[in-house]
Amino acid sequence: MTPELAGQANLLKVIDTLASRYLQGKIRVLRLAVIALLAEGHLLLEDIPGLGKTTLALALSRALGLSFGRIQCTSDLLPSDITGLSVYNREENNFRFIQGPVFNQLLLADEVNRAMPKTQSAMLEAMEEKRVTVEGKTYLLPEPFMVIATQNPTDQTGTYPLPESQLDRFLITSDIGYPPEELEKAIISKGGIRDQLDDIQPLITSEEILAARRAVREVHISDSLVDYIFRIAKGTRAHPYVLSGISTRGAIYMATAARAAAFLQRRDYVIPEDIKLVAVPVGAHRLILSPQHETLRKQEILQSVVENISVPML
Amino acid sequence: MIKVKSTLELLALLCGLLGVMPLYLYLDPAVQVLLPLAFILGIIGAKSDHYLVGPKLATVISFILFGLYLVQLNLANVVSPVVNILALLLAIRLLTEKSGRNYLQIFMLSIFCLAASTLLTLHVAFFPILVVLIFLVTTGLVLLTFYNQDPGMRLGKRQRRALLGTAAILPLGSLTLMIFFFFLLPRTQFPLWNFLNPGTTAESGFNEKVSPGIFANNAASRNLAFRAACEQLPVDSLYWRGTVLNRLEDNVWTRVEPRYESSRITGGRQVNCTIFLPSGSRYLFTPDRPLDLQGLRTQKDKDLVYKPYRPQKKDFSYEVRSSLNSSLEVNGRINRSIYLALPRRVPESIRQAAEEIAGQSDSPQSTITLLEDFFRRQNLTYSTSNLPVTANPLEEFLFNDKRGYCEYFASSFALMLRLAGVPSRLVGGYHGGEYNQLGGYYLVTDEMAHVWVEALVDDEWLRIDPSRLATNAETTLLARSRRPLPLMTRVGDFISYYWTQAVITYDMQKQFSTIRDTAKTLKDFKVEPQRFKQPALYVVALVAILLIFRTLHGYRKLSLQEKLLNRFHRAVRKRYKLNEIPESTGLLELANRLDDDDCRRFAELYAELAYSRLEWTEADKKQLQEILKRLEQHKPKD
Repeated sequence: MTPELAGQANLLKVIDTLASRYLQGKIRVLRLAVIALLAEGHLLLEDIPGLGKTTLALALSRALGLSFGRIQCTSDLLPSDITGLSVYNREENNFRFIQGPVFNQLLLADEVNRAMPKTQSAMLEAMEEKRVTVEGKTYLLPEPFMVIATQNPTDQTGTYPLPESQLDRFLITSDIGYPPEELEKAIISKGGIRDQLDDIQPLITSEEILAARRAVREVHISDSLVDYIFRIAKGTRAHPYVLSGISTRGAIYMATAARAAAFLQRRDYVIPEDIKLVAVPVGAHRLILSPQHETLRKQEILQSVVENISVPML
Repeated sequence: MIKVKSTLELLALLCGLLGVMPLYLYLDPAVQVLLPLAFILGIIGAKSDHYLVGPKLATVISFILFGLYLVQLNLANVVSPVVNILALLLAIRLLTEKSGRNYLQIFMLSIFCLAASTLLTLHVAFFPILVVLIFLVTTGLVLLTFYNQDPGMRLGKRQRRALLGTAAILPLGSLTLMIFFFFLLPRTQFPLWNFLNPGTTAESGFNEKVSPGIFANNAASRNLAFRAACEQLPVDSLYWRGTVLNRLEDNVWTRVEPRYESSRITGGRQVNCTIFLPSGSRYLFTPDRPLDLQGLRTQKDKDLVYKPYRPQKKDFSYEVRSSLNSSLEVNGRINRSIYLALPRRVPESIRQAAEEIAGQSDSPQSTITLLEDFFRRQNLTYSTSNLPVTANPLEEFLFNDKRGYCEYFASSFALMLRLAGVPSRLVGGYHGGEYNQLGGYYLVTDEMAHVWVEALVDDEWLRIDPSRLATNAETTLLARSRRPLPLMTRVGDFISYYWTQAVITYDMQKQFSTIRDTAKTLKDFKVEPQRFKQPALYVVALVAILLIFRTLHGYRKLSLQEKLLNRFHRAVRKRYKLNEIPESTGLLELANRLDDDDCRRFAELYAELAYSRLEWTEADKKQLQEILKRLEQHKPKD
């Protein structure tokens, strides 16, 4: 790996520090979060409350030195609550735009499925376009910009589940999962670490993150691995349980995420393991299952597809 | 895309050609002319799609020809008409425009022709022709089913390949079965029909009588006389003794079996030799002079002539121990009068010349020297063609025409020896031989038939070859045996030698002994060139070479990466006792799962080379191979 990429070393330090000291047992999701950041995508965490989704987002924002904003989505949340709004300034006799939480580099959208579709789409548009237009004026969002949204999969009352087209905008979906037994006991005895989060010092600058993002784009993916991704996508499209498989955009995201994963392994080329690592987090939420199989877990279906595709060796 | 029809046309032509080929020499001359004509016209017809003979006319001609040969058919003459009819029917079918049914007929007729040829000859070519013909006919039959569906059908490259693959299964299966049946079914060791009316070989080669001057030409052929498996011998010792002729009557030398005579062979170089003779031979040939003969019931005469006890109906062989360039001493009593007997009429000129020599000579030895000088003075030339046919051929030969072949030289020399009072006789056999390095045997052909003289001097029979006294002996007589046969002929004869030995004269007992011998050879195998004479060993070596070639060839097709990967998988499987490594497992994934550092190193390095932009370097290859070597050395884990 080229030495000038200080961003790489620092990013690995972020993961290392957080995983060992603050977010024990969450290294997988932490990695996925950093992959999403490097691949210029967004992260959707699907899990029940109380497993540390918010802690993860907070800790990340601290260690990455990013400004942090948070929206608690409710059914009466309005788009302007996210984007901000213009307020009349009597002294200056004009409207002043007050930026909403979306103008932070790391935005945590809690329980995104509780917001009404209008609000959801406003946020998702901001995610996609990295800009906000309010009252005819366009405001650029800060760089780097990343959304970590959470949703509670079990709580269904009074929610507006994200339609697949909206889900498609998230690069990675993941659960967090319970921490390992010993670790959970330790967490129970010591209590949460929310108050320790303030001690986390930024380990990387925004410039370094942007540099790392540029480096990720340069990571080499060989033709055989492009073919591998294509075969995975094709495999999902042909799967009998799947109504519509991974789209071309899904495949592009898979390649981008694999590049980021390779970058985190200090490689400037993708290997099949990188693709296998990101395939399910990137691909699963993009599958639309046929009605009679809707109860199956998409992750498992995609995993079975990947397990049936030969890895290119040459 | 190729039209099924044109492929069928080609196959039909090839089949016809192959079927008729072994039969061709035995056909009537008229048929021999008609056949190639039909082939050519058939090809032209197929090309231009315009046929000279219509189907109706063809049927009429067929019937006429059929009738013509049917008339000739009788109990004494069965095969020849049948064979000719088969060939003619095939020719007519090839000549006319063909429908699907006609192709089928051509295929069948070809096979019948080939089958019929075995009635007349058991040539080694039969086997390869059979194999090829079966393959062609099966391919043709498969194609015919397509043709029947749609005569205008065309086949692509891939379809053709699939078709050939399918067609190949049948002959392969039947050939395997053939090997199986070879051991079981009864077989014939001579052509079923042809042995009754033996062919045309009698006119040349070895004769039981020596009678110079009967024929103007002695055009000996290169037909096989016999084969002799032994070490390579000096050219001038290559005298194969067949018979001894001791009575001269009206220019004809014949044999009277000597009764009271005994002799002893002393000195010389001993050689062991196995002779393979064709069936029917009445004399047994031995390297001059033979000590004893084994492997056959024989009748041994006093003058070292061996005859089979019974005429042999099949090709046979025997072992001889001989002593080259030895001296043959008469032991005790001998009836010299037979060896001095003169014919009633001896030409005056010869008698005079002989008496002159006898007058000058004081001992039998000097008589021989003087006679040799006389022959040299006469400037005789060795020749086999355009010889005068007269009542006194020897006189003509010695004094006028001065040309003749070995019979002239030997007859006149022996006659003059007798006239001069030296007992003499003729020995008939062969001189020379083509040594086949491949098989380690001498090939002796009819043209090497030879006659020389034995003279009794001081109780010892001396071998004298008067043909050597010809002025052109160096270029004709001896050159004959030095002139090498073309390589193809030599290889062909070698194959035919083993064909005869391994297939035609095959018998169960021999096969068992071969297997036993092979087992023994393999048990105490030493690198001795002589061991390689075993045919079984040749076959084993050939199969081994083929296998090695195949493995190497298959191996070479893999790229370096594939080879390395295969090795890696093998090593990992062995070490961790894995049955199978799923294809969906990446190398690094596998290494991590196994938690093996060597695997991990291999996977990392390999992945870097396989998936990055880097080119493979020699150092990388070496490093990978070293890791693999380490991996392979690990013992399987429990």
